[in-house]
Amino acid sequence: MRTETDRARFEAVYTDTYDQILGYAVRRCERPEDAADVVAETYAIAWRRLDRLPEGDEARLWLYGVARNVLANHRRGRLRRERVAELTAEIADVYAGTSGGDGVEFRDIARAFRELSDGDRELLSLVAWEGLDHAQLAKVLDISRNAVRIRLHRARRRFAKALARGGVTVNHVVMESL
Amino acid sequence: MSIDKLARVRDEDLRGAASGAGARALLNAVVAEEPAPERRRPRRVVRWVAVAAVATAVAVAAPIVIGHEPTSYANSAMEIVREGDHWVGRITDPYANPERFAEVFRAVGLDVRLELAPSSPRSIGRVFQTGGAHTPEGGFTYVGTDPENCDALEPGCAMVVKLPVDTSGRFFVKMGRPAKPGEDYQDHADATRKGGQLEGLRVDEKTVGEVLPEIRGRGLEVVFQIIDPNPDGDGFGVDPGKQSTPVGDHWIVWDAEEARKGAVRLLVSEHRLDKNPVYGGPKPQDSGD
Repeated sequence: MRTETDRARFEAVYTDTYDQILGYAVRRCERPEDAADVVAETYAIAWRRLDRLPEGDEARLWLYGVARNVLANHRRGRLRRERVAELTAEIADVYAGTSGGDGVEFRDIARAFRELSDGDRELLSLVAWEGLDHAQLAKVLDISRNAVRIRLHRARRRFAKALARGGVTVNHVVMESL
Repeated sequence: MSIDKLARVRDEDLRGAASGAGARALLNAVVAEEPAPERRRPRRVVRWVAVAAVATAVAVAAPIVIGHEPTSYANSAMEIVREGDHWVGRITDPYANPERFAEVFRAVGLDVRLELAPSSPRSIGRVFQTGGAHTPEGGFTYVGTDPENCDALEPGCAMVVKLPVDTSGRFFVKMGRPAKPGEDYQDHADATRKGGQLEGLRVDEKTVGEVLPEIRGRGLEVVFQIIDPNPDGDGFGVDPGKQSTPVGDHWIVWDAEEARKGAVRLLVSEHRLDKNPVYGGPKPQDSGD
């Protein structure tokens, strides 16, 4: 049985972490419905596993780890929950308010980034988008700090190569006007 | 090599999102669930997955109503025909407005955005960018040309795209097409490769002054791209604002790309570094594809 204390504690974590977990999902899902599913399932799991939910900032890291698994299941088509319509609508507004990047350089970086394996991409995203450091990455991914260091180094190398292959470049108009 | 700008949204932009009506509705829906007692959890999860799998199967099956959708469509840009488990599109006009391709895909129930970008000869008919959600396992398949291995510049040779029939959701594909005269290539191909405009010439790690005579001797025009190598020598950035800086003969060339027919682009920096920042080390001399 969940008590009022459980509920209050969950609500506090929810309020503290919601924008970050939402951001995590929005940055990785092409469609608002998918982001809504990931956010909803992540918190549903957190509520079911309240006994495992750590305190403080650790809660956020733990939730990233859950969201990461949820996202993987979602991509495999294994996730289907009843949707909270209001939530989907609210997240759709977030998408509507964003403008896709433009420019040759943006597209080239985006392409090189997409060429990476899911693992490399996620690692680099957690650093660049969620701002995680080695210790935090180790918690989210449940691996040692040393493993984080090595994987990150390799991911960065591969990204640099992908960029080089595609040629991260400047706006052609600027270049041609030399 | 900054990827922060690839983020659709930043956390700071979402501050306070937890107080939105949707976020509150989710919170209420979640805490309304009474979790199963601890020891039963594994079974509960298994059952839930089974139910979800059935639900997914039903949902996926529903839109595929064979016999109700057309099995072919064509306009002046492309024709598409269903062949077994795949849609096969033959591009009849590589210079067509992308909307014309979209119209063909739409006619058979696909939401595909196909863009053909001018490219160096070796990238014609090659996919250089794809994206989108809900592509099936294996995703988009490019099968080359029809007839096979023909020259896309020749009449009677069509570029072909192939997609599994169960492709769903929006999908984006960018592939190379022949460039019109004077049009810039978008594929950043290595110009020193076999078949390239600088075939047989090594430019990496040489100075601008060393390579220019040879390049100009081939009757080629040169454009420079000034790069900002990362401090660790692994990767680089490009500052559009710095591109008009005059490039001296002592500058270092790190790579050469096809810019357009008759022109190559040299990636340069003013100072020599221990590592080639384009490759994070020596440029592989056998770079293949």
